[in-house]
Amino acid sequence: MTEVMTDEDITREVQKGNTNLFGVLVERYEPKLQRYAKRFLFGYEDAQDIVQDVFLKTYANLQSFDPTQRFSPWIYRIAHNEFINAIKKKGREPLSYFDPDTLFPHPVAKEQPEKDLNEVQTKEMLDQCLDKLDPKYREPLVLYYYEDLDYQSIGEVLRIPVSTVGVRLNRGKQALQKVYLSLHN
Amino acid sequence: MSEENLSEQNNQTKTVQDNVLAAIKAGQVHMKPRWHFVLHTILFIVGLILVLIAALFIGSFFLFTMHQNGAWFAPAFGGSGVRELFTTLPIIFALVAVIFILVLQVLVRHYSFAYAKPVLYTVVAVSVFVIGGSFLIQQSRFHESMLQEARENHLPFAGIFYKQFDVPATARLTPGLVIEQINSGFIMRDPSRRNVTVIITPKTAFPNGEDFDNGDRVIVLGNRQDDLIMAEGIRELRPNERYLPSKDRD
Repeated sequence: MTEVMTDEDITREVQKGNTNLFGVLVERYEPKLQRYAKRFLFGYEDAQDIVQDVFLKTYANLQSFDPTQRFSPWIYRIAHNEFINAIKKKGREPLSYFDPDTLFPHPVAKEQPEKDLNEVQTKEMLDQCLDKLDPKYREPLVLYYYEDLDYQSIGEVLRIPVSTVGVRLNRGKQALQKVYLSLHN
Repeated sequence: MSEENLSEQNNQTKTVQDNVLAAIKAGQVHMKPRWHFVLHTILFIVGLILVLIAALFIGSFFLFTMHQNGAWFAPAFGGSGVRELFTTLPIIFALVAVIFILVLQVLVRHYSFAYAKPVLYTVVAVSVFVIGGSFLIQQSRFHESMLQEARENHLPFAGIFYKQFDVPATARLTPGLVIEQINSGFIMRDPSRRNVTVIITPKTAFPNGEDFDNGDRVIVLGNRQDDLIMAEGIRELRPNERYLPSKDRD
């Protein structure tokens, strides 16, 4: 029965008091968030604990979720906030508070399917060099290439305009290529 | 994925899922009730409205003060008038209004209709709203009424604020009401009800005409020595241009 229920249907039931169904959401999203955490929080040994905290926070705030909206960007947003807090706490990587990319409009880049060698090459570079990228570029690359989120969803998770998502992905790929080439020269 | 990795992941999945459900069952984490979020939203909106009201008040008071001290009309006198404008500008209000606009901008970006757009758009939208609203409020009699109430000591707290900026003395811009014609110019009554003699010289500029009758309201640019002004410029005010406090209105 729960296999045919959408995430939003399940949250509706949990909001009504059927808390056992929350386990289904955990089952569905745990692999995704673990993968997101492992890729974004490079070298953070307590990534699994942080993912657990994400689910606990999701449960605590579930009544604030509107089931007419999509659940996926909402839980990813909670995960994003927890991961950023973890980075700030550890203080290992600088996080810029002021983001000039969001100040001005940019031409909206068309999403490219990249269901070919290009994507394979990009993922290979990501696997090798992701930890060397600025978190500002690392995160949208992880969400796009590993979590398969579209630009709109990434914009909702990061709370930035869709055009800025395109800008960050392009700059992220350029930075990735630089790092990759410097490692292999 | 290899069987080992799958098994490890399944174990991890079980651990996280079990831990989360166990924490929920043990009451270590509670679902916050819906009213908590409704209250949070209400408080947020109330806060946003209060900041908006403050921004509109400060912005409209800035415009009101500029009309009261004549600075608003100074550009009509050309370069010297513009210089005078910048020396008499109530900068503090402009700065506070800008701060409120920035705070409003941050609060508004909490909503998806704002954060999905570049920051420039929300800054412009909020600024236009606050500036436009300030102009509308300044056009109404709100601040003049408040000033009148302050003069009559009917405003216990805000009264001090209004009295502080009640037609501040500026050295080179003097508003007044023409009451008597003399050979070399005219005599006018300034907002503090003092008679001021205005001397017209060949160098006096007249941005909108030279004929001044008794009862005309004017702004005079020039250094004031006691109750005498050698006019560098005189501008008559149109009927819809208010600068004087209500006690001086005909």
